[in-house]
Amino acid sequence: MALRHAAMLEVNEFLVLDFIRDHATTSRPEIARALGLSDSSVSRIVGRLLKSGVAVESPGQATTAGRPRSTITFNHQAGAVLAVDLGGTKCHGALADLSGASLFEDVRPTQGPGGAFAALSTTISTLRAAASERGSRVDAVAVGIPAFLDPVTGKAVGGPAVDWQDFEIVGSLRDTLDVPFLVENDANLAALAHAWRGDGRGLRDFVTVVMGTGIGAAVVANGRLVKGRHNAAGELGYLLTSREQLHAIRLGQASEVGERPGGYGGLEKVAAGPSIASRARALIAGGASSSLAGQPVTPELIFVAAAAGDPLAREIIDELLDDTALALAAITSIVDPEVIILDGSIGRSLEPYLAELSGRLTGRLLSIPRLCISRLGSNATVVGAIAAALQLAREQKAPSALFGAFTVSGRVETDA
Amino acid sequence: MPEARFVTSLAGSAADAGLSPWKTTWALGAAADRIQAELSSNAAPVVAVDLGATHTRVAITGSGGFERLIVRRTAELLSMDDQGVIPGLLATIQETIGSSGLGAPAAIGVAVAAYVDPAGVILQPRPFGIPAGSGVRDRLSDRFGIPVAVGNDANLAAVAEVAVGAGRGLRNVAVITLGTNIGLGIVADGRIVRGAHGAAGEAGTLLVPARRGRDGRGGFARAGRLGRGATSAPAGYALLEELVGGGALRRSIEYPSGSRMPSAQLGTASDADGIFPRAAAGDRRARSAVRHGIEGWAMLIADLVALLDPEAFVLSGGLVEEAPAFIEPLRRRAADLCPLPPDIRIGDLGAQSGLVGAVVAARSVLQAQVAVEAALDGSDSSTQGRASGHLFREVER
Repeated sequence: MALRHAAMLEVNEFLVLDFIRDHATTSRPEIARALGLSDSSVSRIVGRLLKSGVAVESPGQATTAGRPRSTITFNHQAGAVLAVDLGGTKCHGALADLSGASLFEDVRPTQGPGGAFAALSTTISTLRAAASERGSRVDAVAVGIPAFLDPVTGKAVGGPAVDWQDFEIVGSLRDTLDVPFLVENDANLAALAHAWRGDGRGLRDFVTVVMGTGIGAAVVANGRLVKGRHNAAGELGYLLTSREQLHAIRLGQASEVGERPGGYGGLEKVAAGPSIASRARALIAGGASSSLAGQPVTPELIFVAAAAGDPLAREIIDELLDDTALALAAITSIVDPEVIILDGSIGRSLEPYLAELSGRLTGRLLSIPRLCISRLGSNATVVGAIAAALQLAREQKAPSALFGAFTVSGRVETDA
Repeated sequence: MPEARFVTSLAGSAADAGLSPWKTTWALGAAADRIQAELSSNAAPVVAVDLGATHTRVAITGSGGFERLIVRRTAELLSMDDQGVIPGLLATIQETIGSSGLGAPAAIGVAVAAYVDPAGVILQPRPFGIPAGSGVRDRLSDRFGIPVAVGNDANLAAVAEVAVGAGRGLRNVAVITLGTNIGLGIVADGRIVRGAHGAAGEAGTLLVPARRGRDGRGGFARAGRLGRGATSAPAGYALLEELVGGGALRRSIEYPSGSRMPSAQLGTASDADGIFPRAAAGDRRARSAVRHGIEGWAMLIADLVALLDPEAFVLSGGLVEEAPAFIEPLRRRAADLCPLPPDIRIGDLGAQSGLVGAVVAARSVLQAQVAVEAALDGSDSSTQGRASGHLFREVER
């Protein structure tokens, strides 16, 4: 590949900056050695990077031989990214520096006047205000949504949680943002987070199952996120291997089984938060005795009551474990992951029941994946959105000659 | 040793359809010539082996595609010692090469009905004479002095359909093999999905909730619209394959009631031949077996859509070959169960998909060798695969 001279300078500058970013501290001779560039061109490039503020220099410690070598570090405060997880109930945004450290967060209800997009817009402007207060330049924005995106039209498809069938999310954001942005399915971003800083780190094959208001999954196979024909891979809510779905199939209730996008279907019907809460309410209304009677039942309360030994809550958890185990068994039979990470408010609540879940799989499958609970806190999607925004910011700086030619090793590629 | 069955000039050889595994009576028709052309090569011939539960096929390709094929019952290759089919296989390969007159092959590809790790080591012994370990790879390589690629047959079938068959040009494909059992090969983003333990694509082992029948002897499950069958699964469940695999459907016709099923038949494989012809002729039991099959296969497709959302499903295997007409009702039922109607196609390669995948695997070894030699020479390696070249490296590793 023959690059023009100017383009070559641009490429070298990008490579030097990338090297500095990837190393905690480095030095001019180290950069020159690693990249095979001459000392003088490294000095020129580093000079420019220091002047622009993206790298900083500090005097090195004196060594016995020779003069002290000054160290070069990446300036993580030179820019910032915005990351937002637009969930079914909450819109959670974060302002992060270029190391990925969160500097400021904003959480607000999704449902309000103006609906989900209004909440998203408010969160983004709050984060931008926080960035400008700190004097940080926003380099990129990433938004996770509880829907999948049509790869051709850029419209949201599905997304019962925010009522976004055919919503023009990409177009609407383009109208309000003047920085590079990306929109991605929330479960896909969570998978990116787990590959970046969670239990999927360094693994070629793992699956993230997100159980909350809805149910989603992200499948990482051969080190890549499986996106599928309609960007709809991992729409686990449609999985049919649940007791209730099979019951419906047995009875021939086809209309109960064949759910269309826009409605809750399959596994989501029995194992998502609203489903287990309404199941508890129905049992209580039917006269079952429970400590939950007489109060508004939420999934959280069911888990608390089950831990305290309430038999009805325990029964509901048992059913949830059965349905979840069937789904995990299906995932394992089909893609054989090394690890399955449970996330989402319901998924994380299953922590005390991991051994019971594994027990339901033992002896039924040829290879049992390791089950674990997300270690990324309450919002892996935000962490994944930070990772995606940083990647986008980095790619924006890539010279056109390199654009699209490099991949970030060790990370899930969010784009095929 | 039984007499070898030769088939020459496979392309369009409807005349010897009695012997030809290319059943030109179905979808292959027009595709046969194209696929033969795809497989033809002026490079050195390669040997392809498909080592299955019932039949072992050994073929050699030359400048005209497949030039010689020998099909044997796998049981006939069995030796008395712990070598399983290996000695019989070595002899059959030698015979195939000798009778073809093509000269020494450059590589061997083996599709085997077992889990295989990326290095070609078989991870579990199979009851039909396939030993675990690197025996198949190493004995063939030692005997013929050429590289040998070993891969899982369902995965290689998927490679074949994506490389030259009904899935060509696509990057996300699920190839479902409906034969005695249910096989699945997944290609995601152009690569075979093997899984962390080489066990991806075990669609037949999908758990289905079921009730236990009256006869608890070997375990007999009833799953309503998915039918019934002998099961090895824990109480309350059955494996999909035990209900709607071709063998299970066949048994459900022969032994409609679990209580009357001879225990020797429980869990044993049998050919699925005849279900569709019998259903078409109005046989009530065969018709209900077909209904159960369609329900179960549609459910599998719906689950794959939920998890992987493939661009297309390619159906292959004995049942598809027997009656492609069931595809329409299957498409309709799958459309009922999925958010969007999936693209369901009939494979181009039929029973030969494993064999064609083995050719692709064998050639991939050669390509990798060329690339390594070029690198060692310090010369610029510009070896480019075809559109599906990215698959090749995956297969041979």
